[in-house]
Amino acid sequence: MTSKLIQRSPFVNWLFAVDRILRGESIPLDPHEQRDFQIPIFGVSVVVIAMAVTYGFCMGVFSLIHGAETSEYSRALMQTFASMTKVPLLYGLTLMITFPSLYVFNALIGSRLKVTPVFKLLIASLAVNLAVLVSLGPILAFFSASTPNYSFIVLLNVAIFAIAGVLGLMFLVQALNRLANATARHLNQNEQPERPDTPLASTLLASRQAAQTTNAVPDHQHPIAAATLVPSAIQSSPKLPLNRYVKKVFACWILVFGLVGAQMGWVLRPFIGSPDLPFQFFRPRESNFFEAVTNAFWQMFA
Amino acid sequence: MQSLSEISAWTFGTIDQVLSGASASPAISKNNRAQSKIRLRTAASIVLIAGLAYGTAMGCYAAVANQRSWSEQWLQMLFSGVKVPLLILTTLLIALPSFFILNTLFGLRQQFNESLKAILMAQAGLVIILLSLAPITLFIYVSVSPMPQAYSLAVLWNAVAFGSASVAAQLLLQRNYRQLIRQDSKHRVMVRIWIFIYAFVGIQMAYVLRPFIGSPSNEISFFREDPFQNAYVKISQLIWSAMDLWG
Repeated sequence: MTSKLIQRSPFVNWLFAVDRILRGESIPLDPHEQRDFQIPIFGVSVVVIAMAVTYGFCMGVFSLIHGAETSEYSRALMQTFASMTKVPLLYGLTLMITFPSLYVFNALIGSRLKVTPVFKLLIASLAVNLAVLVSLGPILAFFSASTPNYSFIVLLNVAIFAIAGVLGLMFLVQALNRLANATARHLNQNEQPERPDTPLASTLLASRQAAQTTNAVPDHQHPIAAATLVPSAIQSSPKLPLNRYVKKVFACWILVFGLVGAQMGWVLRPFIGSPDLPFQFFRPRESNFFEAVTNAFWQMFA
Repeated sequence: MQSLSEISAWTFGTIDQVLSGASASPAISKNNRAQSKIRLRTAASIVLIAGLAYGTAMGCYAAVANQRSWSEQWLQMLFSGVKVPLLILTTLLIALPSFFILNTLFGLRQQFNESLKAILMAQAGLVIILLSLAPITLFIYVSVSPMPQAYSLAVLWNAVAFGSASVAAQLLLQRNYRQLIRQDSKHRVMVRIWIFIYAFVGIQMAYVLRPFIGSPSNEISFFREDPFQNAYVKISQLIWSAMDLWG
């Protein structure tokens, strides 16, 4: 009965969709594989928002504990609510603001990816980013509950966001490469069904033959060893070296998304809520991100 | 009903398997299922029982030093006994989600059960090593008790005991992981990441859960009276002030 219940719940299905993204099963690894880029945009977005809200709660633990000590309960609850709304806003607004330019750069540089695959790709990489973020949430919540030092918590948050961001980008570049290769091959196949003359198509043919020879080895004797030969979601495949279009698109995307994201994070402050300041949903605009991180580092020893 | 000799044979057989790292190797479990009897549940109960036993021994300091009666000291012994498995298992729970997601991203999800087993076996090894040091702990408590700095020496010895048990458990973890690393070298990176996350959380957890021994001059309580502090901030402040003294 419980298994039926689990099967019926759409949220659980969406969680499984995110799990497939993390395992690298949503993006076709072999370009000759005639499989769609299967990501339910709505479902994955819902899970992404849920993960962002959860991480926001972990951020709010610091103000909750501090509020309980000083009996400022309403301030603590307001700050927690603010954190829970701001983390999804940070990622959602950044994606909305940058998506048009990300798509246009991608088209200008010469990738043949259409709008929907590009959007799916970005949502999938946000899902990876947030899954790492939320998995580090318990560590943040524990340190928030046991640390009175505001600067330490700020630095820990910066480190966690950085780790999650790097892993999200590692996923993005591999997924982009696999998808770009699959699309290019698909188009080449339509144009020249008989002879693969282009270098990309011929390497793909070679990789298909290589895949067939590896398949000839009976897998069932070493199921674990055979499984590990498949590169994971964030690993490059020796069959598919990064092509130069992918490198250029990726560099542009990092620049645009990173700059807008950092500034968005700065505009949406405070995420944690300094215990010395009164509650405010937004702070007046001042200074910049990097200066603040350096200051927090020095204040930790003060 | 099992006879006493059977129970002791099973117990020492299990301890042997944990300490030799044989039980965590998937190759052995595949070829010869009869040999690998240890399950995750068994490893977790070893952590609970042996941790409780060492913690109880650790917490009897004030009574052994004749500074408090046994009728009062049992509460501290109970607290310390609960705290050792609590330290190990809560740290595991807090560190596990990120380890799971990282394993999935690196494509090691299929062997996650084996990884978890290797980790839990190493922790079972840690508490077994600790428990084997318990007689020395009691001996040291008894022999230092006449000295004026007895409590500091007791704390120092426990730091040495935990430190050496952790180092030994880390070697055990490397041994348990050997088979996994042979299958996929990415596990080598994973085990290093695990040690880092676990140590990062564990040091703060140990700091939060103080007192483990219980100073005879303080009242018996589960947590210290003063509010929680951050271990890393404390350490860096200590280093900072030491540098100020020299400068």
